[in-house]
This record gives sequence, C-alpha cells and structure tokens, in this order.
Amino acid sequence: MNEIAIYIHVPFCIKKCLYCDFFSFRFDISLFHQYSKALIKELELKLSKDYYVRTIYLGGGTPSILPLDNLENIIETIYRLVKLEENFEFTIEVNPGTIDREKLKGYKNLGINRISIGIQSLKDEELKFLGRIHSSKEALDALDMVIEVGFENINVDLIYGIPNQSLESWKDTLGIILKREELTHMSIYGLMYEPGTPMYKALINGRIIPMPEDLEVEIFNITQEVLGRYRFEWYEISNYAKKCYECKHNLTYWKGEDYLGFGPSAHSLIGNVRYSNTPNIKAYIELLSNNKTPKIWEEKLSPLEKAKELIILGLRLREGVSLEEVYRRTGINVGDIFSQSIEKLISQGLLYRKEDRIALTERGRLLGNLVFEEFY
Amino acid sequence: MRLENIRNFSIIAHIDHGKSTLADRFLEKTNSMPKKKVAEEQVLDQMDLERERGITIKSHPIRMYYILGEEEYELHLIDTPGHVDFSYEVSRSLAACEGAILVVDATQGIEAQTLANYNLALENGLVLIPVINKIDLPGAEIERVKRQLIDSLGFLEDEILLVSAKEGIGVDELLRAIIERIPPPKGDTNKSLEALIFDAYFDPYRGVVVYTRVFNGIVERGMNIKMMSTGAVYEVDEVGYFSFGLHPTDSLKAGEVGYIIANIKNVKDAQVGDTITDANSPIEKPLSGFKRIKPMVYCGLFPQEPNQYEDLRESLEKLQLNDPALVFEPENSEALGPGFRCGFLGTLHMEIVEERLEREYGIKLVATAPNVVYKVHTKDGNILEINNPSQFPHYSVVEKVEEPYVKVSIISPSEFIGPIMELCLGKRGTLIEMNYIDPMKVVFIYELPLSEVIFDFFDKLKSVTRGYASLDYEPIGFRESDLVRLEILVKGEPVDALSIITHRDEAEKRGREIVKRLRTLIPRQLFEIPIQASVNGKIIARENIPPLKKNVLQKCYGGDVTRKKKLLEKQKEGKKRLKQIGQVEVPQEAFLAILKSE
Repeated sequence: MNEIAIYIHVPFCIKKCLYCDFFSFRFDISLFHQYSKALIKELELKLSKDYYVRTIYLGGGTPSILPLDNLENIIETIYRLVKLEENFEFTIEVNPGTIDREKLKGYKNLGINRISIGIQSLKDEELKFLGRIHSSKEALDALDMVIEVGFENINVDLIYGIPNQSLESWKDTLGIILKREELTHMSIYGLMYEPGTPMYKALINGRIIPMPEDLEVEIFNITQEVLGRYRFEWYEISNYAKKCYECKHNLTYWKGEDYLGFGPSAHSLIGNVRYSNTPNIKAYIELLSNNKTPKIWEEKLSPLEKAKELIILGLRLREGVSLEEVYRRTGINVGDIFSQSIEKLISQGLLYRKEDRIALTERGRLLGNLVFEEFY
Repeated sequence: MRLENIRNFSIIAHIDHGKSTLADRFLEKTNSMPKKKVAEEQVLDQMDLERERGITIKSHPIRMYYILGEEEYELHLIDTPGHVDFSYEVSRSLAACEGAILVVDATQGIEAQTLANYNLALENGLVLIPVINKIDLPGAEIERVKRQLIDSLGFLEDEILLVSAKEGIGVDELLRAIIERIPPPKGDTNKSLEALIFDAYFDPYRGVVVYTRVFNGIVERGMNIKMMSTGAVYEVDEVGYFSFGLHPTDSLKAGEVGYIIANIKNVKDAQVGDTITDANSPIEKPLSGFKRIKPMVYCGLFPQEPNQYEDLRESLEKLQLNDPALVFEPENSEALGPGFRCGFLGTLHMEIVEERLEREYGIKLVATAPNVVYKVHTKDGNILEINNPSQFPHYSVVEKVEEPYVKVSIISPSEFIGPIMELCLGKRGTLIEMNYIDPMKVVFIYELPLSEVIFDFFDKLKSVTRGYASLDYEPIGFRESDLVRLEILVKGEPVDALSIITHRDEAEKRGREIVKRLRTLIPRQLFEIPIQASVNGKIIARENIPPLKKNVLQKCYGGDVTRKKKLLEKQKEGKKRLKQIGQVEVPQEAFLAILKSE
C-alpha cells in the first residue's frame, strides 16, 4: 500500500498578481473545458487502488475559479480511483472575488474540509500594489463567508514586506484577521521579488524601493509574538498553526514523502524519482487526448541527493530533521559528511542539535539560506 | 663597399606621422623588397601587435642599394621604436647612425615625440633632414608646419623637403638628400674592434642575433668577441646584414651595420647599448651612453585559472629571452593566489606583454593596476626598493620615501593651456617652461611623479584637450615625496593585497573611495563589518557593512524544490570564490575592483 498526497494544479487566474511566479493563464472557458477533460484523463492514467491517499490539495492558479460541476467531476474521479485514508485532509485554495456561499457549501458537500484563502492584506493600497483583484472588504467578507458555511480548518495567506507598508498597517491587518477565532492556520510570507515577475522588473529598474530589512525583521518578530498570543505556533519558516492543525499536505513536501501532481507544470515525487508535467497547457491537453503522459522531465535522486533534499526541506520545519531517519531512508550519514558545516552553523548560532535532530535556531529561521546552502 | 658610399640613418617621427610608410617607399625605390611583400603595408613592422597598434616595438635595420649618378650607395635604414617606453632603445639606435630624417605630418605639425626624437638625435650629434609628410592631404598646412620647423627647431627653409610617402611624392629627392647631406661613417678597419649593440632578438634555432654598428675594426667568423659590460666572451659563428632575412657575409667592417651570431643563449647577454670588442685585443673604454635597463613600472600578473601558473611562468621565460627589459618574480597574493610580479619599461610595454601572453600563449590573466618603484629609506639607514605596495614597510621604520619623476613634454593647441595646467597641478606637477611653437601651438615642460603619469594622466590629457595634445616623457631620477602606505582593514584585519602607496594629501580621498567601494562589493555577513582605511596607524576613513538579518526562501512547496535547489546551488557556487580575511568572507571581485582600478 502506497501512501500518497495528491496535488491538482489549476492554472487559471482572472488576473495574475504582480508578484506571482506560479504557473497560470487567464481564465478562458473553452480552454478550461479541454483542461478539465485532460485532467480527468491524467487522473485515470496515474491513479489506482494501490494508492492510499492522505491528502488532496487543489492549488493554482485560482482553483476557486472552477465551476462546481466541473470540480465535482474531478473530485468524483479521484474518489472512484483511489483509497482514502480516514480523516484525510482536502484543501482548496480560494481567492476573494471568486467564491460565494453556494460554492462553499458545494465544496463542503464534495468532502473538502480545509479552505486556504488568499487575503494577503487588508489595506486597499497594498492590495492594489500587489495586483490583487479584490478589495480588503471583499477579502474579509469572503473569510467570514467561509467561517459561516462552517469550515473548521481555515488558512489565511498574508504578505508582509510590501514597500511603504508600515508596522501599524501590518498590525491592523493581523489584528482584524486574528479576531476570527475559527482560523486554524496562517501562512505568512515576506514579499519575494521572483525573477520574471513584473514586481521584480520594477525592483531592478528602481521603480520600487523595498522595505528596509530592519523593519521587515521587526514585523517578523512582532508577528511571531502576536500570533503566539492567539495560540498559533510556527512549525515551518512561513507557516503557523493551532495545535494539530498543521497542514498535512504541505508537510508531505517538507518531509520528502511521496506525492503525485496533476495538471500542467505539476511535479511528482515517488521515492527517489521526481518528475514534472509540461507547463504548456496546449501540449498538456494534446498529449492526454492521445493517451500519452504529459511528463516532460524526470530526475532520479542519488541517495546523497535525496539526503541533501531531506535536510534542506526538513530544516524548514521547526522540529528540524532527524539525522537517524535520513540515514534510515538513504543510507547516508549526514552527520559525518557535513560535520564541518554543522559545527560551523552551530557556532554561528544558526543551527542547534538535539539528540539526533538538527534544527534552525530562531536566528537561523530568518537566515535559512545560509544554512541550506551549506548542504550543497 | 667604400666607407664614402655608406649611409647609416634613421627615420624619427611622432606616432602616425608616416614613418613606416616612408620606409616602405624607400624599400620600393631601391628594389629591396621581395616581390610578394610589396602588397603588404608597413612591411617592417613584423609583429601582429605592431601592425595593429600602428607602432614599432623592435628596431629593424635593413640594407638597401641605391644608385645616384655613377655611384652605388649602401644605405642602412635603422628603424626605431616609436614609443616613449622605448626611448633608450631609440637613443641607441640613433647612436648607430650619422643622420636621421625627421618626419612631421603636414596636417598635425610638431608633436611631443617629434620634439623628443629631435632632442635625442641632437644629443647623438646626428645630421637631420626635416621632412614634411602627407602634403597630399586636404588638411595639409605646409606653410604653418614649415614655420614651426624653422622657428622652433631652427631649420632653414631650403633644408625642408616636402613629401607624400603615400603617393611617392618627393621620395627620390629625399634619397638624394640622404646621400648628399648625411656624412658617410668614419672608422678605421685597422683598429681594434669597437661595435655598438643597438638591438638583439632570440632565434630558437640560432640563439641571439645581435644588431650592431661597427665603429672601428672588423668582425668576422671565428673571432672571439667580448661584451664590455659583462666581460663575457663568445666565438663569432656568423656575421651578415639584414634585408628581409639574414644575409651572411665574410665580415662586418668599420662603418657598417649588420648582425652577429655567436652562440649567445639569452638576450640579457647582449644588452642594448653595450660595446663589443675583440677579446684578444680589447679596446680600453666602451662607447658612451650604455645604461642597464631598469623596469619603471610593475604590476602583478595572475593566471585566471590557478592551474595555468606553470604555463604562465614558461611563457614569461620565453618572452624574456627576447625582451631583456621584462623582469618577473613569483608573487603569492592572498587575494589572487600564485602569480608573478612583473617589471616593465612603461605601461605600453606592460600592455604588450599582457596581450602577447593572452594571445600567443593562451593564458587568461588577471592583472593588477601598475605601480612604480619606490625607494624607502629606513631609520637604520637602509634603502629598500619597493615594487609592490604590500611590501611597503611599517611606518615606524620609514625615514623618507623617494619616487621616480619624469620630465613630461606636452604639445597642445594654445586654447587648452588652462585645462592642461590645472590637470598637471592636480597631478603634483611642476611647470618648468612653456613656449609657443607658433601662435596656435604651445609646448609645456613639466616635472611629474611617474606614478601620476602612468595612472590616468594620458586619458585625462586627451579628454581635456579633445584629443589634440601629445605627450612624451623621460625619466629624470628619484625625488623625495611625502608618500604613505594606505592600509585597508576589514573587521580590524589589515589586508596587504588592498594596500596602496599614495601621496599624503591624496590619502584621505583615496581611502574614502576605497572603503566606499568595498562596502558595496563585500556581501553582508552575520556580523557587522567595519571597513577602514588607515595611514600610519591612524584611521582616516570608515564604512560599516551592516549584518545580514534576513535571507531565506519564503516558500518551498512541491513544485518549487527543483527551482529552489538551483538557486541555492548558484549561491553556493558564488561562495567558492570567497577569500577568508579573518572572520570575513571577501569575494575575489572585491579585490579585483580595487587592484585593477587603483
């Protein structure tokens, strides 16, 4: 029996946000129909009763663009093909401006039990800067709607480090969100300028002056403190959860466990083999209509590569990585191979070692890259 | 050939005034050129580099025969290098002649090297034939240039010949003037051998080929000759003359110019300016004017790929066989690894060597900015010659410092007098004199520290005069200067590779520039990094690199792993080029930016 996580990529957006480097297209109804047909084909090709599914995650893009009946087809296909773990986690990413009460109820009926809502900010000028399609009021209304429909596991995405954002405006956003006690999970990202995005270009051209690093660090620290008061604990560099509400699906990635991805550009990892689908949606549709795999790239990780990955991904977690477990899974003794780096990082105060585990210190959490790159 | 029918002469000119074209024309008129060569321009400039740069680096003597009236004449044209770096070689080539043609471009008039060469020729007692060249060009100002030659250099109007080497105009008249005006060589074949070395090159098969002018006596195969500066004795293997290759003859007699091959292994043993005599009956005193060549300018040359170190050594050795002015010694830079500290005659010589290493020997180089040699007098009475700023002794033991000075002549249109004086003042120059060549053209004589001249002086001069000024300089010895070692400290650790020698008045400005530059070049690290510039133990400039507080991938999910891994790999790759200075990791680029730019 193979335990897996399933990721479905919905590569459509109403409008792409200025900072986003994920793979998506402007929503187009006919393209969309072909896509969902192809997606179902891919599910049928790859899934079987050999898989014991622990989590399903509908990400994007904007999965909440999908009309309910299409979504039903997709989800029913999955249910039909695999075995589901009891208490499996089923997340959908939703964007304010693309959901209504009926859709949300529909999600619930389909077995979706976790909503991840991209709010990002509750300041209109900040939302505009980010290129979001919704206002702060729409965002908050959407959140309240999710709560009202009765979801018990709700994540909110927020972004800090927006140019001109002040500590006060951030505290406002955070305070309003945290009043909703039903929230169980928060993903809080520092704004990243990803190459290829309009935001990156603006930065390079000097049209944007990034937030001063000291303020960013202050916001980070205050966030931690405020969230703590509301019983949110950090468990990954950018993720906080109330007890037992850590995102099981994302933990799959960070622990280097198996997952299958569906849809254009989706990645899969089974054991030591990672592969990805074509990002070209036309090619994706074409290949599947001919019953061919949309896979265009594959890599086989050597035991050492796998061990390195387990380390750099595992170190994102507060609990860190068990070197013993890495050894058990790869046969690589990381403690030996990287002993110098580990000693150096410990002496720099970025890493600590407790029994067989290594993990980031508070300081290391903000300087994670300096730690990760030591394992390359 | 009878002495009366021999003429030894040079062509001297400012760069681009048409010296090489004129030489080509002579070869044509005297039918000296092999047929296949005729098409090629500037046949005497043999090295690729010489053709590309339009300058002559090595001297090339050539024998030509010319019939005038009933008589056949043997003309030895001794081509001379055309750059200030090689002025000593020029002066020795001129010493081998009785006369010289002074070529002036009709569109440019007298320039700095016209003047410098004119003076060298006078010092050597040469008869000069003034020639105005390029008279065919639309911009030719024949009358004006004539006046310059008459008023500034003291020529008579009827001495001046008008020529277009390119069109062949006036060339026959010039050849006639050479024969009529330049005296034949004097000399006594019965006396002991007395011959001047004016150049030499290394032939891998035959050893050193010595270029010589015989003043007295005869040199022939089998004879034992002695180099007077070293006392080394060689047996002559072959003698002959040059005319597109070596032409062996039975002997070279007093008055003649030619070559000697004597199983000499290194050009160092045939130094330019040295006197050759008969080992069995040596003359008493060598010819005057011999100087041992000393490098004026030094820089560090490092292989970009550390594994090319040995190749670099071998290539430098090969170049040195042919270039006695090039010196080098191993240098281990904490920043750039193993390499060589190399000495050159000047910056052009340096550039040529760098270019040949890269082009002919395929070695990619990292070159540091050039510096001069400093004489440091220590308190215990020693004099240290410092050619590497990182070896400058601690200020507590320094009594005084001397640096090389040069006499600079600048010729420029008079409208730029102001900017030129301002520039020279800023470069610590002293005005010695200023004269008008004609109402529109002025010549300055300045004394300047060589270190200022090799820095960016020429570029600045060109820019303040819109390219119209010309420059020449000659060394005039060492002078005391208020020089200090500017030290750079990174988090309290002095970094030898980054220290420079500078005038005290400039130290603060330079110090500020360097620390500011380093601030942007050294990546932030976990702790604050103070970068300081200090002179004699006193901090004169400081910048802080604040600690890095945040550097972490915010998101890493299933689809990101591969991309993010690549990102980390790239970061890691960049770190391989870091050098550890105390606790601080400094990228090689930071060193390079300082070392290359000065």
